[in-house]
Amino acid sequence: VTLLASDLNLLTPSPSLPSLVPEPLAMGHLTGNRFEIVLREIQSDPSVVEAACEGLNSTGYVNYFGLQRFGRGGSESGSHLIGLQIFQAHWKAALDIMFQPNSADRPDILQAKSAFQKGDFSAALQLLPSSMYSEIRVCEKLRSDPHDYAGAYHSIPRSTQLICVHAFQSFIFNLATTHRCDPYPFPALLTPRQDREVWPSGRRG
Amino acid sequence: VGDLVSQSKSLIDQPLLSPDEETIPSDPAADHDDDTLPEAEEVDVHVVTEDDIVNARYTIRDVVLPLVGRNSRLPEHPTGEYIRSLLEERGLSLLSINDFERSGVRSRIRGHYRRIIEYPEAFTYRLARYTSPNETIQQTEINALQLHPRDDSASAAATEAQEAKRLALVIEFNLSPGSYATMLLRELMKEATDSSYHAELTAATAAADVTSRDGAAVGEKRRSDDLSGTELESVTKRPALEGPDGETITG
Repeated sequence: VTLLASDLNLLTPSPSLPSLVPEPLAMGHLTGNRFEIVLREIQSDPSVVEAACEGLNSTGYVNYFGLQRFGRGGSESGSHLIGLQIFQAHWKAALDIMFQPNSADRPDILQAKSAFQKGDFSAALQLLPSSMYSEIRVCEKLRSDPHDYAGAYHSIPRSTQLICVHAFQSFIFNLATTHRCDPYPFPALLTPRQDREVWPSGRRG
Repeated sequence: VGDLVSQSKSLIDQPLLSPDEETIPSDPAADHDDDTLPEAEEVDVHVVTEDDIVNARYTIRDVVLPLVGRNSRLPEHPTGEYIRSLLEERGLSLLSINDFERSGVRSRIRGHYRRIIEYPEAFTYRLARYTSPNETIQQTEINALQLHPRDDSASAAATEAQEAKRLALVIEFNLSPGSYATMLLRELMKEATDSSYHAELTAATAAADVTSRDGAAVGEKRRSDDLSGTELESVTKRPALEGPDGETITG
C-alpha cells in the first residue's frame, strides 16, 4: 500500500494581501489539518472498502497517538522509555536508551552508538551526523567528563527533553485508551448509557 | 459511570500544541505546594454520574482520558486503576509524575486530557481503478500549479484499454490538531502503520510487478500476482503487530 499524503493547512486560505493581526501565531492556533490520501494496491472487494469508509465516518476511530510520537526506537529505545527515565532522574539510563542501536539506524549511526557504548566518545563524535544534535551534545559533555551523566543529560536541548516526557504521557494514554475501549465492540460505544452495563462496579454507579 | 468527560473545546490536545510545562522555583518547600500555582488554565473535566446517564447528557464523543501530569484526575472506573498500576509498575505515581528535571531546573508537567474517539470531518471517499503502479490518481496542488502539468491522457487511455485491475481508494478529511491520520488509516485498513512495514509492502508490489512484466505467458503473470497476494497477507499477520499493546509502540 502506497500512501500519497498532502497535508493541507486549513489556515492558508485564498491568496490575499498580508496584514498585521493583533496576536502572533503560536503553537495551538492551528484549527486542524485537511488530508487527501490515496491508498493503492487494495486487495479487498470494493464493497468491503465502502463499508469500512462508511463505518469510519459514522463511528469514528480510536484517538491513539501515532507511532511517530515515540520515535524510531520502537519498543526497546523509543522516546517514551527515555521519558520514563527522565521522570525518575535516571540520567545514565536515559542516555543508554538514546544510544541503544535499533533496526532503523544507518550503519554509520550503529557504529557511532557502538563507540558510545565502549566509552569512546571521540570516535562517536566523528561518526555522528550533524542532524543528531542531542547525541553530539551528550558525547561532547562525556568526552570532557565521562562520569557526568547529569551534565550530559542536561546538555540535551530542552525541547528534546520535553518530547520524551510527552512521549511517556502519550504511551500511558494509548495503553489506557486500549483498556477503556477493549470491552466494547464498536459502535456499541455510542452513548454513555451502555457504560453502566459494562462497569457496574464504577464507584458512583 | 465514572468516565471523565469534557465538552471544553480548548481541551483538544493542548499538550502537543502549547507550552504545557511550567518552571517552578527550585526551593524544595515550594515543590509540593500546589496551591501556590495558578489554576486558571485547568481543563474542566467532569466525572459521569448516574444522573448524567439517565439524562443522556454526554456521548462517547465527550469521553476523555488523562495525559498524566500535575493534578490529573483519573476516571472512576477500572481504567483509572489501570493507569495507576501502569505508573506504579514503572516506579512512578501520580504525585511523582508531577515534576521532572529539565536543564537543571525542576519543572512541572501539567496534566491534560484527550478525547479517546475522534471523528474525521468532511470525510469523502471514492474508489478508482488504475493500471500502472505509479499512475496519478489524485491531482496534487503541486501538479496543479506546475506550468506543464503531467499529461495523463495516454495512461488513462491505456487504463481503459486494459481494463484496469488495480483498486485504489481516495479519501479526504479534516482532523483536529493532534489527531493522527496514521491512526485513522490503521482503523480503516486494520493494518500496521509503521513505515518499515509499508516500505516492505511497496517493495513487494514493485517486485511482483517486475516478475509480471518479465513473464511473457499469461499463466506466469497470474502466478506472480498470487504470490504477491500471499506475501502481503503473511506480513500483515505478524503477531507483534496484532496485540493492542504492541500496536501502540512497536516500531
